[in-house]
Amino acid sequence: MPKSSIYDYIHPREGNLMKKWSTGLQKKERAKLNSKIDALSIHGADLIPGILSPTGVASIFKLKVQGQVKLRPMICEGPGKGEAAFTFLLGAKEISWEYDPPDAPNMAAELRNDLIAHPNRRIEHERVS
Amino acid sequence: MSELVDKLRGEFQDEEYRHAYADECLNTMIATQIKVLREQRDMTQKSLAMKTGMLQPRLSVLEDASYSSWSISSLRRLARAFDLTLKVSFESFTSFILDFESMGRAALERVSFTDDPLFKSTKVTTSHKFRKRQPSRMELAMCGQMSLFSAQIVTLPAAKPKGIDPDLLPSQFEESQQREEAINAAVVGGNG
Repeated sequence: MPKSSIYDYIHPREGNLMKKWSTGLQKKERAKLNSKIDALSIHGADLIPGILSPTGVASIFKLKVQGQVKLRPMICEGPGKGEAAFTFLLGAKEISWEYDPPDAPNMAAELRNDLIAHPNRRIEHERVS
Repeated sequence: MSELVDKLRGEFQDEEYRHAYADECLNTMIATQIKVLREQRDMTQKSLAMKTGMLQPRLSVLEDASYSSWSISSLRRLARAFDLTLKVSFESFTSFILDFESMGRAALERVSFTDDPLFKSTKVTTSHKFRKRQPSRMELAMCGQMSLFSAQIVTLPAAKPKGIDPDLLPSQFEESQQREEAINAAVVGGNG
């Protein structure tokens, strides 16, 4: 029984940003990403050490997946109050300590605000395998 | 059937995918168990680091689900610090995934040797050992100046060479007393 529900933010013009980004990853990267998403969903962030890291922007975390390419999709808790859920806002990578896209945490914060204003702009996480 | 196994059934048909997925699960499981075991023992990262001879920042890295460069030697040091033993085994994907899915705090906790029920009371274990062991001919001979020949044909409850241990529990004390009496009786019989 999953501990937390996982959602994807749906951009009004561009659709599911997380799904689009995941589709462009290598197979091995997608496997590692899905493993971490399953761990987060089944066990939550409290049990798994370091699965989410703060980004320096309030309420925005990065899901950490190590490898040749460091995957750092931007995620937030909820954002509904008290709900056991996480929502992917957009995909991102970390290359030489820089985000790609460069302003990923702030972009994610804007998307989170949009989601709070329009709570139906999210769907159950669409897995890309 | 497991919800997760059901979800992975199709994805795991691809060899590269299933190995990458399982490797990442393994990283997650090891890091999580290190953290859970440390917290179970009320240890800080610093105190665990001291016990393993590592630096705290190193331990912090090992307690990160993204870490992947595990070495048996580091894990052995951690096992020693937790007073546990390390077990490494090869698993089928199904059993591995079921372990991953059921991995909760309680499932990851382990008791140290000193709290291990099988080894907890050394006195009982020792007493058990005495019960099983037959006294040697030399012990019997020394016990009552019995001839070696007599000792050969007498079987006795286990002997405790240095009398009755005052720390024994009442039931153990009684047992020990009976044993002493049996030895004395045999010695008298042997001499007679």
